Amino acid sequence: MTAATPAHPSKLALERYLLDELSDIDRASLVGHAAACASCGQRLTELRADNERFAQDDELPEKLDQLAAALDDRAPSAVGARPPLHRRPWFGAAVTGAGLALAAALAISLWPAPPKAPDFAAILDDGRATSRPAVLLEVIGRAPDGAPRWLAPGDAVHPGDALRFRVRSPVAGYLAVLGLDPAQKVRVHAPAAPALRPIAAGQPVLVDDSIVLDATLGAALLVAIVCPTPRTAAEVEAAARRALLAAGGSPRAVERITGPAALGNCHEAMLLVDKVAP
Amino acid sequence: MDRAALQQLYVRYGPMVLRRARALLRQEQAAQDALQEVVLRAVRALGDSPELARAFESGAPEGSDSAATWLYRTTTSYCLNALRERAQLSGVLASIPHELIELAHYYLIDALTQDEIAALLGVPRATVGDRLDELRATARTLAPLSGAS
Repeated sequence: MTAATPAHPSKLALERYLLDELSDIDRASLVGHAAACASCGQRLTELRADNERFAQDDELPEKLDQLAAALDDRAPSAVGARPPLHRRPWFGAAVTGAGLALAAALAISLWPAPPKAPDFAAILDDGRATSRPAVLLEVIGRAPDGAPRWLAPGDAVHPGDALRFRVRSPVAGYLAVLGLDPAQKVRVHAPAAPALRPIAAGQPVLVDDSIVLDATLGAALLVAIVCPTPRTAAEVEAAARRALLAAGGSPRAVERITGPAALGNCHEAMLLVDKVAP
Repeated sequence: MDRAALQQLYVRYGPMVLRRARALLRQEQAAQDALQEVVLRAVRALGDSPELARAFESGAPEGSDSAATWLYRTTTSYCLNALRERAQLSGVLASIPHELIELAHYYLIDALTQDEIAALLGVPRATVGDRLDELRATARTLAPLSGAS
């Protein structure tokens, strides 16, 4: 009898990761493993693609009709009285009322070019696979009429989609989240205030505000930067502009923002997404 | 459950259920049937179990209260029963209790850890160890029969 292979997460663990059901510790462990393990990283990419296909199935309405009919026939006492299933509250806040106005105000431009191949190493500090603790940037995307989903590097997003950011840092510091576009624009999505917001070590921070994507198509680089000492949003924005300029204005060519020239003691995590027409 | 809630449940958990069913049943239509049946069971169970309803509503519970683990186990159990009915588990395997077949699948094929199996089955880890001992004993008993056939 063979024991479970500890090095690879189980099928169930991968499924629970995609459903955001893992504890913070297990989630960090799985992400770290996937960044270093090509087969697991590829498997996660395949699972996400499979989820997308499932949600876009042309026969989905018909299948739901069949389910609804079966429920009417078979379990009348179990339906109708239940409250609606959980909806992630932040999206409701982001796309309605004041949240919508805020999201619109934060709307960013996104741009053309093929995405990088999905690579979970890209979401770790410096874009390299590493076993050491690293800043982790996770981005949740949601179409106006769709379900929230975790975005992987290279994932497609669409105009009107809302994005929200979750960041985890191994060290306490000060956090900024920003986006870079091929029109050489840099936008600081968080904080809204001039000074970077504090972030505690090991505690995932869900950035309060969401952004809504406009109609411009192409690749976008989303970046989380954590600095051990207080910094201003203007400093981070300036460093990002320099990095984008050095990369010829292409977000895809930006390898890092922090370095000897600026923000030398800061850490960063990047995620490149591709905005395409629906 | 209104249609929007049903769709939300179906789209969120359906891919996992369908993948699991496809892996076990190896027949697309049978897997689609399993998906529908498991979703129906989930909706019924939501009406019967406040704990499970909370698991689905909170989205990220731990251990055996997790919606994903409940669905994973329910799908596994349904599919293994379907395989039995299709006589694909035949011969000496037919004499093994369903619970041990399920455990063997989790441990040997899915490569789940004992902790994961304990959470999946909602039992202490020590119980998983005891059942694995039982599985080993059963396998030893059956090995000569299998070799002779």
